[in-house]
Amino acid sequence: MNYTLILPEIIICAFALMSLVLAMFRRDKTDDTAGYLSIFGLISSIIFVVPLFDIKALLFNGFFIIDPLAIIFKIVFISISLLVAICSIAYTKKWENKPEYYFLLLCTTLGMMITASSGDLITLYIGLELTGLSSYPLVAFTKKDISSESSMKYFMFGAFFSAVTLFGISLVYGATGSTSIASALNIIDYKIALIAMLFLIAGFGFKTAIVPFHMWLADTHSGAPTSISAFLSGGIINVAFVALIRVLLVAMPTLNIQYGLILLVLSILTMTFGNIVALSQRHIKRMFAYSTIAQAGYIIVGLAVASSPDQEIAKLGIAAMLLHLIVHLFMKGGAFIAVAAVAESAGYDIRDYAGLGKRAPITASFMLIFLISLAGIVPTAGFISKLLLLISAIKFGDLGILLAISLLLNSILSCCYYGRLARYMFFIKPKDDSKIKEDIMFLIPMGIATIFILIMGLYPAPFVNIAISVANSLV
Amino acid sequence: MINAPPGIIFILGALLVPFLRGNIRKAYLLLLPLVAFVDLLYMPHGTNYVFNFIGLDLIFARVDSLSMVFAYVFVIIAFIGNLYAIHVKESWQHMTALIYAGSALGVVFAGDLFSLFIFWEIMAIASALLIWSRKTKASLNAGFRYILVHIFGGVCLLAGIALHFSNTGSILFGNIGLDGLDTYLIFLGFIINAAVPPLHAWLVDAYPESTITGTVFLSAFTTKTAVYVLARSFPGTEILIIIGALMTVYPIFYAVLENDIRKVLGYSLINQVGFMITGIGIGTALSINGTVSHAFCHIIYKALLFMSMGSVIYMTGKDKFTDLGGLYKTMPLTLIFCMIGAASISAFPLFSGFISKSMIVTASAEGGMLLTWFLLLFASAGVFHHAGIKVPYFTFFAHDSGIRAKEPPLNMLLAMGIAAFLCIFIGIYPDILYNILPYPVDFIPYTTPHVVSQLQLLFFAGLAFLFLITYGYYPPEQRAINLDTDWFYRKGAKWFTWFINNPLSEFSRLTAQATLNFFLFLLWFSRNPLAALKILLNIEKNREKYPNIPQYLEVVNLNAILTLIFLSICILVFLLK
Repeated sequence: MNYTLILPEIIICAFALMSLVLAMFRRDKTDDTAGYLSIFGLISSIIFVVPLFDIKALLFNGFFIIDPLAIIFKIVFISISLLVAICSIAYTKKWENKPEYYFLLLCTTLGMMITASSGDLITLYIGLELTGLSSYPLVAFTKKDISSESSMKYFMFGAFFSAVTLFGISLVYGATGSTSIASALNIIDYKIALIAMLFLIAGFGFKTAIVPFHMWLADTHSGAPTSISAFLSGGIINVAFVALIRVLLVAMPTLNIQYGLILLVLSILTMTFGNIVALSQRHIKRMFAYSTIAQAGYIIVGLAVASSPDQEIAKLGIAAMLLHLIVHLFMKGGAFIAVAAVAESAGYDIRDYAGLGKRAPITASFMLIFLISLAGIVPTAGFISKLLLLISAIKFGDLGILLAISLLLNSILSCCYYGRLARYMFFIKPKDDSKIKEDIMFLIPMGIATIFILIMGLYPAPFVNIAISVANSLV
Repeated sequence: MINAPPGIIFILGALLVPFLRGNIRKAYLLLLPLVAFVDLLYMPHGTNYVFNFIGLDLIFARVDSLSMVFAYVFVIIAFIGNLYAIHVKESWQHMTALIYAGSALGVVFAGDLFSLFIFWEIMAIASALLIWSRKTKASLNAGFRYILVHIFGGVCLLAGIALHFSNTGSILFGNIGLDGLDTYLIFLGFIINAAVPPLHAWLVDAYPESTITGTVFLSAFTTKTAVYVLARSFPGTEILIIIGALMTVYPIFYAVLENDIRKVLGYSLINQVGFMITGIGIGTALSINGTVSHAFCHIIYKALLFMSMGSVIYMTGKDKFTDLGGLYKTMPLTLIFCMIGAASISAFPLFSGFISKSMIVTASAEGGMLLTWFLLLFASAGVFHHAGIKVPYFTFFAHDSGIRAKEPPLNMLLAMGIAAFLCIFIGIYPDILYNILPYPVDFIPYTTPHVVSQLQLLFFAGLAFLFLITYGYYPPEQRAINLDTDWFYRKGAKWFTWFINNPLSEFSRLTAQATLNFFLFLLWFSRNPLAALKILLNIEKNREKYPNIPQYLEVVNLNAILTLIFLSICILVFLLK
């Protein structure tokens, strides 16, 4: 067996354990070694992931798949982890128990990577559970009332939807005697196939924050440490997307179930709900959390289009979805890191952001670029990916026009609250106009995200091509 | 090697500006339009720079004579505008102005709807930044209103493009014509940028709030790109004749009432664009030629007017007619330039406005459109009143305000000089302009009937003004209000004001109220949907009990229930089907 194929996972696992070992020998409680160690681990892991891009392989009797989809998602997960790890160095400066924090962060990443590579429903479930179980304590890490409460909620939701997922898996197993994803093809009974699929959609939909399974998201985001909010928005909601792609695209097309219709309704519901609720939020993290729900709605547009019988259109839908997912990681992750950067001095209310353009000019201008991209305005990556989603929705047919219209209307709606934040930052005078110290460890991840957003906005061709080649490998 | 599209030269060139300082930057700012101009001169006609983007052909350089005319005048005005603004220190103002010019050129050369849309959006953002660069509270608010209108227009355009694409399968930007929802949406997106009443408010709202130098750019690009795209995609659309004729007349009333110098010029800008829109609506070769040449001349003389008034504002710091007057003693050169601009916009023979406007008026007469022709003539007299007489008279003569401002700096004078020269030059040698028009021209402006009828019109309009001044019928500050209202128009205006005040405003109040209530409800509802739902369904009787944050763990139960509802609905729907 070729172990280089799972070397990235091994590296992450090793570094996670190393930071735990480090915890035994620490003398200084606020020591940052574990942070730098995990950054190093993540970077070396990404170095080993990238060359695997064109490889297709089955490991462990088909339990573990290496294909372009898995690799692109692994790159995505490691990048968001890396951004979060870098900003955590600054964000957790005064905290204790840091090695455990980074251990949990790396474990979550590992869980996400396993999910991306899963070829079997059991692997999928293990990956999702590892992701979930290691992220519950991360949310509660500060041990404040609010974060304990949100972690509690997150855990209860997680348990409920784990059960739902497991029920779906057990239906597949009961009908076919096998748990491999491809075995779902063999279900003959239409009813069982339908119910199994619905349960799987509900179970995965919980992590992607599709309405009506979305309720954990806002509370968890607002209670979690802000660096972890970035991780939740940029990373964890994407885990379930890869699960959805795997299950729906591989297993369901032959079942003659119009899952596209379900996803279409869910997508319109999700984006509209997210945007409308975000309008009235004054707590900045809640606002961004609801905006994440809206963006998840946009992403599902691509998944709905992927159900099209025309292969070209299906490919375009998957490509658009992948692209928006990646872009969303950078812009929303970046936005939360910007919130983290000023949280200590400014606070979380939107009124605290008045005059941020003067008080913390670099952070504010990064934030502005994230907002422009989130609103989908040229020349940023957010525009390109939203345009692709729009094109794919239009090509989907009559129902697609409905999707396209709601996408456009929602874009206008979202401009209101993104614009309001921009207005507070640049045009409203602050009560207290003292400068905020901008830590370099916050600026680096924001800078990386900004550069990515601008490069992709100005020269989208290579990124679009990568997304399309991944889609080609699937359909 | 095929020449690069000039829009790209401007946009990429703009990115260098922040790194340059002092004289190097000044030279660079003047050099960039020159380079673009030379580039234009050797631009081959045809379709170049085609990029394939997920199966769509994006065309960045579709060059033909229609786009070339607009490109020429855009580059010329970019040069003049840069020269006029060269003393400005903030480099980002220069940068946004250049990006703005570049995106306008990008629109002009875009051969497909998607790249057109991208440049269209960049144009909206860059121009909003230009408005904000004045940094006053008024300009901030006006800029916000401006960008909101343009985002709305942009979304209409994008929706139209998307629908058009799904209907026809092509994103080629050519003659579209009005049929079906998609084309109406595209049309709406275009005419919002053309400042068609009642969607014109952004123009007079925002342009006077920009910086003195920014207004010169603003007056040139946004509305004229709209004219270009309309001429390209909707020529001969009849509704444009009505819209255009209304556009020429409607702003006149406001222009004579207005006291802010640049607002008056803004209204006259709408009036002039109305002529062009009418020309597009008529759709004959002569009228399209008239539209294009009028756009060409208009950009230059309107910039000249904005520049001369900008100089006055720059030197005196005042922008109301009531505060100005008697400046002719100390600003003679500015006065001369302003008079040349005024003569051009009033279409005096030997000035540029005459050779272009008469084409549109003649085209309407040849088409037998009596009412349109009459409205255009009326508007011509009106524009002479407010832009031709009112602006110079109340600024430079009228009552002596006691201000003794000096002439503006040399670069401003030079920029105005170049524009003034072009106004006269084109007026005397119209063939230079006629040769580059999209259709062959067999129109001779300087025939006796043309000249005589135009002079008659102007003479009587001037006489009316002289009459009022000499007999001192009205106190100085109110002269403007009564200038061109004889009893007929006064009655029309009265009826019009009644209509505005009563049914129309009541209607708009009611709709505004309804929209507001709807959004307030949404806000109330979205603060805590769960509790709101309870109150709405009368489960929770006590309306005061409306917490801001969802209750502890209650959400978990609710979500479980929602999930089960979802599952049962789906199963029912699919199994019963």
